[in-house]
Amino acid sequence: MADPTPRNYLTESASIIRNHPEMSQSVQESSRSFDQRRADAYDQVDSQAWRTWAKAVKTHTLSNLDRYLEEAEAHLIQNGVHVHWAEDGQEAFTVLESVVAAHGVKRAVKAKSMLTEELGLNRFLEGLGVGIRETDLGEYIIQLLGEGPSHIVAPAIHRSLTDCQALFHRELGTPLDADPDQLAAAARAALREEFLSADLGVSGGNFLVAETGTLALVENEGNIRLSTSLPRVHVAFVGIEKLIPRLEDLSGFLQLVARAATGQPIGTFVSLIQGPRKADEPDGPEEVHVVLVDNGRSRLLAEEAAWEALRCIRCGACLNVCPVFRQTGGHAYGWAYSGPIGAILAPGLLGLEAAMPLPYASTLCGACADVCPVEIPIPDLILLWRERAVRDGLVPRAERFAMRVFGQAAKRPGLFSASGGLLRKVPLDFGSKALPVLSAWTETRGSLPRSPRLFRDLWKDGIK
Amino acid sequence: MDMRVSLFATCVGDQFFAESVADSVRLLRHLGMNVDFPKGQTCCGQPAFNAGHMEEAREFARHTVRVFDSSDYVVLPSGSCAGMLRHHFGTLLGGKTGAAHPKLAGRVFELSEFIVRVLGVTDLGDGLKGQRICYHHGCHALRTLGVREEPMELLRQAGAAVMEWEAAEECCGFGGVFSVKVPHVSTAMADRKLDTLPSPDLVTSADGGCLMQLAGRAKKRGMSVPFRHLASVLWAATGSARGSGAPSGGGVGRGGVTGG
Amino acid sequence: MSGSRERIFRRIKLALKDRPPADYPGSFPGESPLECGKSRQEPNEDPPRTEIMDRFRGMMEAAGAEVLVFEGIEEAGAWLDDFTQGFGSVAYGRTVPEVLRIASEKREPSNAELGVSMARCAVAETGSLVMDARDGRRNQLLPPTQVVWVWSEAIHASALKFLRELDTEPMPSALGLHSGPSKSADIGQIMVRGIHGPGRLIAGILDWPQDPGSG
Repeated sequence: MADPTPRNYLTESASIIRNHPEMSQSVQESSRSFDQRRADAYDQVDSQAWRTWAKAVKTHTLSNLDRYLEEAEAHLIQNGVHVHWAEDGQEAFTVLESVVAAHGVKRAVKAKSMLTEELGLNRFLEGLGVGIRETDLGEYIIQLLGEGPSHIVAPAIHRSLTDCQALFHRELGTPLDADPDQLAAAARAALREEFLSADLGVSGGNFLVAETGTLALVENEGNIRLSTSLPRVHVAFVGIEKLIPRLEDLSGFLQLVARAATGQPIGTFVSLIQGPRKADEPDGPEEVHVVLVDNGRSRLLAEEAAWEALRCIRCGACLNVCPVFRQTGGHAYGWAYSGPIGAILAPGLLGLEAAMPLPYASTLCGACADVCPVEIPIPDLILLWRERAVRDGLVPRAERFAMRVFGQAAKRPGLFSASGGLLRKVPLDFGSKALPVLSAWTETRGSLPRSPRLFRDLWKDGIK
Repeated sequence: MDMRVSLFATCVGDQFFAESVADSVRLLRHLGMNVDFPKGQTCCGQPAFNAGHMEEAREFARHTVRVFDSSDYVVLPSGSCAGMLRHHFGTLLGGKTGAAHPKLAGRVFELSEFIVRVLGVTDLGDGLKGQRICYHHGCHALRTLGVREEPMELLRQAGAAVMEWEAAEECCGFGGVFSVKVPHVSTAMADRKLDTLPSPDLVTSADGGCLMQLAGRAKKRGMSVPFRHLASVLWAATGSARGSGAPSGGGVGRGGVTGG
Repeated sequence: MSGSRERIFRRIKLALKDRPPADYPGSFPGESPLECGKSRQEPNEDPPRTEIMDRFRGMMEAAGAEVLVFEGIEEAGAWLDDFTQGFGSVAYGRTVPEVLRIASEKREPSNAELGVSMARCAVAETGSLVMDARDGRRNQLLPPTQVVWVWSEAIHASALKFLRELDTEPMPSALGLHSGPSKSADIGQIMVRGIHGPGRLIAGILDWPQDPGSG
């Protein structure tokens, strides 16, 4: 399979809709149910006040990011954590490589982390000859399938029970009709061995508290707690935008991210990590490394308005509510972050050209902005990247030309109505290859039903 | 009558829903408005704006502000165009994001919104008695303008039963350029709407773009349910309509788009 | 990466050069811990203990945990004695008081059927048991069934109050907020319990005045 890339969005999305209706169905059902739970959980609290507060904290933090990063770094070091800085995936890998070499790591367990997906970490570790096992159940499923995550929170959202039954039958020897509990038990047993034998635990990080150097991780399964507690070494990859100023800020963010993501009052397991095992503790990692990763974030921070995407806390609420995402799931987008947030993070982190056409994978319906826990104005930022795409010459020349012609008519009602009148004489249903834009419409929606006469002509004659 | 209302037909209205725009005029006059149609009007620029062609969109915005400069009220039979004028002109012409252009602030309304919020009218007549109607919430009417109850209230007061529709508030997949740039997803979104549609006597919406999308798709799928522009349905609500936009009559290019 | 840190900081400073710093909005305007309503929390005012207990119990049970309240050491001990009969092996957290252990076959957490831990404290608002690394992380996580003792006096009304207090104390290498049994819906979006962490979680609230010498 070719490497996923945003470039293939059109063909991939069409292929999922046409050839994998069951995948579309899985995504439809679960994203709807996630969204319903979010809506109920928002209704139980003053969610508007929570979101306004969270937006303000993140905006404040990002506008003082250098100061908070220095503060966090100082506290991490004070806590006995090894702090590393990585410009990009390559540098993040180099850190990991040195840890693997220094500790003679043979086996690694990994907790779900979108940043490591963004950096493509697993493939690198395989190159090192280190077995790395995804331990989140959903990540485990897609790792066995050789796929990437299709959702920020629910990576296997596109896979049905039947898919899992077939997969576990093949990989773990469970019966083909095993129920979810049996499948989960088989996965638990297989992964328990991995946890107990791993030398290295790799994780991401949901929040990094500047004033204490506390790293907070949120989950439901317990695999993050295990990955960060059992192996001798723990390496956490944390995006530099994950900072929050104070420990008490977690009270809001832990509750808000859970309500937004899954409708829970709080994640079932929250890890608050301060560093390596202390003398009076019976277990825990001997060494903890935090790798602060930029990978395009500081560049995005410099972008007027578009920097607001950095407030994102990766809850996936915008995916669940998005009618475009629901049709395909995340794979079609060809990048770690899909859906509405992907459309505004991709141009910022990958560069606009590499992110095309993701800013166009939206109807601008605005449902995402209504649910975002940190009030990112997603549709406005999508528009901003579209404007940039036009300016940078990244849209088809024919479109640019057509828009110029259209623009000419702006101030000329005569020309505008004349061209409207002219347009009325063009047959719109010939489905010609010569006008692909038109056939893109007519193929599934038929010819455009023009009125017999323009309104302005009706007006001229007088409306009775 | 003293209240002067300037009608902005919008390009979609002018081209594809001419009879429904005419019904808007009839309805507003019926409500005592003095309706004028500034001839200089063209398009709100949304097709360019949503696709990122801001230079062109700006031309349309500047022009539109000029055309409606002296209007007391600008009423549009379209939620998304009203949203464009109200929330994006400010941004386009150098203002704050999401802010109205100072010259249009407080004067721009979608038709049903104008009737309910400005005129304070919810009872148009009982011309829709016995009709089972599904209302599609266009995204911009719903989320940009916050128009949710107004059209439903007008329909109900006129005797219609507004039917529960699971996907009533979901996007139809039109999205301007989206409909042709990402046609497969766009079509699948329309299918989701149609798959969940109960069996109403008609489907209506305040937005022509959505109606073209849904009606076009429904027709292609062989569904016979009619789709009508809200302006025509509201005119029928008054009981004064003679076929033009009445739920039982009309056809392509009259009361809007038919599905059958 | 030695130069990377400097390059990243340089770009951040440049990006923020002309951006006015945004204000910090103050503390989280959280909900009242007493009811899932829309009321705001009154600062520094602790609700009655019974209401805190009720909220804690309600939240934990909603998340699938079991909650038991014991009014004396004998009652708690007798329950544990009885409960452990159903398990072949038990592992104990290091800070579990001796009086709250039962002399059944003790095991290493990785092959114990039951784990008994001592929570550092709890949070009523979210229904969370706060697990301290000093008690032993393996024991908190590996056995499929988990009994967690928590002093009723140590149940904080809200997450905000818990975190504020935490901020003033020396912290362990890790704290875990456990708010129910381990769960996952990754297989066909059907909820299963006990994936990785404990599938059964029992909070035993010790509801009598804490002896200064124990716990």
